[in-house]
Amino acid sequence: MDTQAESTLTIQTLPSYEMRSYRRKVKSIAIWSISFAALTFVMFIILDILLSVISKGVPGLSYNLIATQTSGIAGGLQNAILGTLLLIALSALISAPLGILAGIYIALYAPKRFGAVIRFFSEVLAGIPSIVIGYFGYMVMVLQWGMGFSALAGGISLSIIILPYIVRTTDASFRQIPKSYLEGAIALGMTPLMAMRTVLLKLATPGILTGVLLAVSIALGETAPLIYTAGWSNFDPNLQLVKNPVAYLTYVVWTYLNEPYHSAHQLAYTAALLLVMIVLVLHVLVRMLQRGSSKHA
Amino acid sequence: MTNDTVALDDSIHLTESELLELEAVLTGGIHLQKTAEIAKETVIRVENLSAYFGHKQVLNHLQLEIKDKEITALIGPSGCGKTTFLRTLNRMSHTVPGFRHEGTVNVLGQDVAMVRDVESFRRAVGMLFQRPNPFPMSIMDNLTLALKLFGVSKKERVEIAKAKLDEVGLYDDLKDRLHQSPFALSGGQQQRLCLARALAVQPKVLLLDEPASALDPKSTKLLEDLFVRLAEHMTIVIVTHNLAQAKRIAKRTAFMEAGEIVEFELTDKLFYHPNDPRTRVYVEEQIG
Repeated sequence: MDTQAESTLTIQTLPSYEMRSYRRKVKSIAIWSISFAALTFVMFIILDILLSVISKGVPGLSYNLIATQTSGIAGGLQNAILGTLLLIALSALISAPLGILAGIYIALYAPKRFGAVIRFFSEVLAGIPSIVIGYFGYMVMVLQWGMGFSALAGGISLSIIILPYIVRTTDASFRQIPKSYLEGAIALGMTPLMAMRTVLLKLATPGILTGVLLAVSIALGETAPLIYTAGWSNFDPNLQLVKNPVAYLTYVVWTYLNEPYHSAHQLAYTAALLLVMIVLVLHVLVRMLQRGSSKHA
Repeated sequence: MTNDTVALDDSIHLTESELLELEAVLTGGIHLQKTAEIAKETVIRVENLSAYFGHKQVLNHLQLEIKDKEITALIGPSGCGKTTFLRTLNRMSHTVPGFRHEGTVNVLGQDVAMVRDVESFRRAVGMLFQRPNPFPMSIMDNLTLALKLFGVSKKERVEIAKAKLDEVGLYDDLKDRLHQSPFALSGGQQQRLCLARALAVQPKVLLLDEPASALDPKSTKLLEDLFVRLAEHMTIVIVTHNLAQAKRIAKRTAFMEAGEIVEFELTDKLFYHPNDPRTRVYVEEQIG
């Protein structure tokens, strides 16, 4: 009898079904509206950036842009385009092997605690403001080592910035491989190195390449460390990697917007457009890689 | 006509000396082979084995002898240490940080604590896991990868691969798709492929860690029949939660509880006339 009384009581104190369903609907509509508003806001910002970069950058696109070098505040961007490509190629050449090997080491070989310590320092390195790395590059490489403003000093500075990203993505790509693959290989009598080389690397490769491409797209957009290390040149880069300043696109964006001339502004907008286009291409590549890897598994 | 579509019977033409050479390569030299012969009766001898992960003791003074050409089953509740014990036999436990053991574990005449050439040792003591784990490469590459790394010539690798695939009853089904991905195969086929892969390096002992627990009854039956046939010329140790399976295939069974071997007997005796009341309770509860 007691329990019956209790249960009727509980039922009565609860709001009616209609009431609850009404509240739920209001809540759901409210949350959906807020999310939608937030999404629209973000999309608007992205679209605004893209549209303004495109609308202001496109008029500057011409054959001359890629065929001629900058002269003063006018001319083309051939030197800056080639310089940017040289800088990101150098930084990838330096940081990819180092970062991939380091990532493999902490994912597969490092004792647990040591691995955690390296991961921590890698995160710290990723958090250092890029201007500080630029300043470090200036003091150590440009001055002390006598490299001068140069592609090598700039490339090394960029590679210090992107190294932690490559380490992290390599580490993550290996750690997300189910342990059963490594165990299966080891149980056949393979050494851990053989297993890594023949079985695990294959599974980790799409992830590693994604990491390298994303890192390169980060390097592409850096300005601060290059101001201190790469300098600027009105001429195409060449194979003299030290004591030879080099041009790059972000420099054009940064400096030429402050010049009071239309031709300078035009070059800056077009350089920004080129940067956005290269980043887009890299991200499309990343997507293709990821799709390829999911098809495989 | 490629090499791989040659009929199986035509393709096995190794001379005797080639076979011997191959065996020497696969067993990591004469040493293991000789010691195995000396210890022909007892292939695995475990004395006073205690094992720890960090400070936690997982095996407590195990004492056990496993005979050649027999299937020995390890049963017991989850977490009783049977998988750890199994993985100690081929030093897989030793790859886990913090693992250490006391007492002696002698497999194929070698003390596992003293094994110098771990890779040759693991080649002689093969393992099949709970879930099929084919490598992300073609069926043929799955079978030949290890042989390739150990320096076996391409012709021999392919012959061994086909022979082993035939041994596990997959050759007829798969002979036209040897260069396709193994992930399209059913779970049972994948597990048999993994068995063929383990057999390709010619182990003397085969450790099975709940090899059929993820499979349907028909695939399970196929695997069990295979194990019985394989036991005619090798030693098999199987961890299983399926008591009926132990009853069907194992000559001897060890019942483990809380890191100890409660009872180790001929399978029939253990199931129908257990000495220890703990065994009786477990067996009766499980069978119902």
